[in-house]
Amino acid sequence: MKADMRLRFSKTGRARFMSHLELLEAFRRCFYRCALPLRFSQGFNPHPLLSAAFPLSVGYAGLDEILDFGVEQYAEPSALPGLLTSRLPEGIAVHRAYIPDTPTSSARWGVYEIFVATTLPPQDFLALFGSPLLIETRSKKTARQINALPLVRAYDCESAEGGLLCRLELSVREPALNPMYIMRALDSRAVCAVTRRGFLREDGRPC
Amino acid sequence: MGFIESFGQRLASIRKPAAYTGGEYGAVMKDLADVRLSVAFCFPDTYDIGMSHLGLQILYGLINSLPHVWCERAFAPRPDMEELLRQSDTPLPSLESGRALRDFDVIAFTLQYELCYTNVLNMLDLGGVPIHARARSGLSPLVIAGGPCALNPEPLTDFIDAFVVGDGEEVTLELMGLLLEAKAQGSDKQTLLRSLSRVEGIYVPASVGDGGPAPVRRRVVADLDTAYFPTRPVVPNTEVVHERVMLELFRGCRRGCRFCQAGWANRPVRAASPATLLTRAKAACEHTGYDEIALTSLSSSDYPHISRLCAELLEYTVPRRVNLSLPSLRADSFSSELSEQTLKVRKSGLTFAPEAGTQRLRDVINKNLTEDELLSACQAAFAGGHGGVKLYFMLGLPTETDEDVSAIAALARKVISRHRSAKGGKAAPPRVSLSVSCFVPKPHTPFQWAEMIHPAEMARRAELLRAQCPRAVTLRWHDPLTSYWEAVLARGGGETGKALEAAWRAGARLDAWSEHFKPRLWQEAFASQGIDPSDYALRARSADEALPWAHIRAGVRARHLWQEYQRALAGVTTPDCAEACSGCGACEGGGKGHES
Repeated sequence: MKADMRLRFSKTGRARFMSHLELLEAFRRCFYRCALPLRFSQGFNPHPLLSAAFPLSVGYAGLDEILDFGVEQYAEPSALPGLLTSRLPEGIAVHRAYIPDTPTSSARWGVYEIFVATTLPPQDFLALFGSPLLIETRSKKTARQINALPLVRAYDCESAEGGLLCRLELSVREPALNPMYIMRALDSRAVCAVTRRGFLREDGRPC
Repeated sequence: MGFIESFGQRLASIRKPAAYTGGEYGAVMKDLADVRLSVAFCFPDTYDIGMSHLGLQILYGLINSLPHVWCERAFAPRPDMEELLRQSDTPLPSLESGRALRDFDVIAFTLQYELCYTNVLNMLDLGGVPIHARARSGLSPLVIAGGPCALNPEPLTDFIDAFVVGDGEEVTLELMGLLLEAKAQGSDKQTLLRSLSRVEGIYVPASVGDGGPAPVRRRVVADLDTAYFPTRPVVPNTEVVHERVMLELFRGCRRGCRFCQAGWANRPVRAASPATLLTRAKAACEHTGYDEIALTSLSSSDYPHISRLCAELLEYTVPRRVNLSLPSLRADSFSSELSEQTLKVRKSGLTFAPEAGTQRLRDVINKNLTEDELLSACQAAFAGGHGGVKLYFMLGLPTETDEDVSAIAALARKVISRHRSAKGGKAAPPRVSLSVSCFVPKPHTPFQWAEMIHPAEMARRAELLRAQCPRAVTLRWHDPLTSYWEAVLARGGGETGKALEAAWRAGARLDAWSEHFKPRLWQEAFASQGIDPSDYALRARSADEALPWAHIRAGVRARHLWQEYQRALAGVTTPDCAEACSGCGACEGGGKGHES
């Protein structure tokens, strides 16, 4: 019996330097190792039905990421986390598997925790959100300045050993906001460690 | 992994950071408290190249199968990572534990290509290890090197403590045993090197006396069925050149092409059985999750059970959407059945290597391939469903004339016309691509005495070919200057090490990559040492000249190589080993004929 399923997984430690496509390839190989045949798309160049929602930038950790996949045969969800995790690269762990009842687009906000190695006080971070929050976004060809404030649901900051610990809830749906733009506005040269803790729905409930 | 934490998000700004962070599926982690001997296996090229190499996976798995020995990996960093390491004063770390190279007991390089030699020096320097063997007086780190380029180790003798010549599976275990013992006993480096120099297949430059180096016999693994094979290799986290299960069908080659170092220096032929290969293929597929199996060897279609093996493998691979590829095929042993078998899952490319355009020149190089055989193979491939074919040729082979060069273009035209015969006139034209490299006379081949053609003349011949090639053909050729420097280092003596060091100090890195290769640096480095590089590459050697690699005994008698050279110049072919024994000496004494 064919099934569409969803995994919640974390990507931490060394694995956070894997790109989005590298992550998908790691999962594809993992399914093969576990003898869980993935469904393939139809057409001239079939590819496995596997998609990770809201790609993380290279270097970011994620604690509750989302991966949707189609399998040829239904697999008991409770058995999947242990089976898959034991056959994934170090740093990727599956925590839950289930049949989804909502599309991934029900996630609206990403919850980020960012450690910034800086000597600046928390007030400097908080002051960024006095309107408007102008940031420069760059695509391959163009650079443009936007007011990012509507893409921020919440922000907070406290002093931590060696720097600041910032919390941000940022849009993950188009137009999405990468927290790096905000951190660059704070201190463009500081070393950052970014962790996405999870997702929220439009109304702020966990997703 | 301290460097990952200290670099933080800065690591994300370099190209392919996952190539430096380790943690791959299959990577071996051990508790340092249980480790008595630590080995850094260093591949002197980037991660993408190194992780595609079967030899690395064999030795990594083999050494890690030993209790109390931990083999980790390190690769040559790209310029962006080198800059990050040097700016932050961070020594080159291993992928597994993140420790600096200087903290290992053994640093082991595999030498696959001469233009990677500057990477050896750069990795040592980046790892906090003095580059000169004489400057490393302690027992550790001991710097060793093996691989095909160890067949002429002389350019690296200033830097490497010991070279391993030949197949690594057995000698590596002996080496590890001696190193464990030396470390446990607190031996000094000189005592260790003396004991290493007594092991067959190990060359210790420091032990060379006034009479010159003693002969060093290449190690030969006799039985591939019982030799270690990595069924649980490391699976890279980032894209590498070859992402596939590599199934080694056999070592050596029965053919005797006179330019081919791998063919001559790996004699005799030793094949694994189909049952062993099938078991290995399934185990490796299930571990890696790769969707391709490559049947590797110097000439896969010469494997005696190739058809049966493919049929049995396809029973396993087809339902799992796993592709089967045969990268090295001989046109005269390629069948339409094999053509169909390679197309069962996905269309993959087909490559033949006629090497020369005329029968005369193919006889000189002992290719033992006729034009009819090549054209029939291409027709079988087209009829079997292949839409194109890639053909390898070499320019600058001994006795080559402009007529031989023009014949390459003519042969390409004939291949296109065979497509019309196979598919009819209305079919889309075939994709025919010609890949042309420059002949480099390599040690331990019959052409080791021959000269290389000057790069300018090589470029003229390439241009002659380009002007005559049909427009439907894609033509690619290797940069003649790259081949020239490859020849200099392949044929160099111990004195070239100083020029190599000068080139590295001037900034030469990743010379195998066209975007990083700077021939001017090499020219200046050799000039600064008063060494004429052309004397190594462009000069023919006489029969009585002492060759720098003469003390390395690869298995074939030097006398036989000279006879083969003379037969080449006379245009006389020699039958392959399966037809008649030519008495080369490689099979004597159970595959250990090493007479000078």
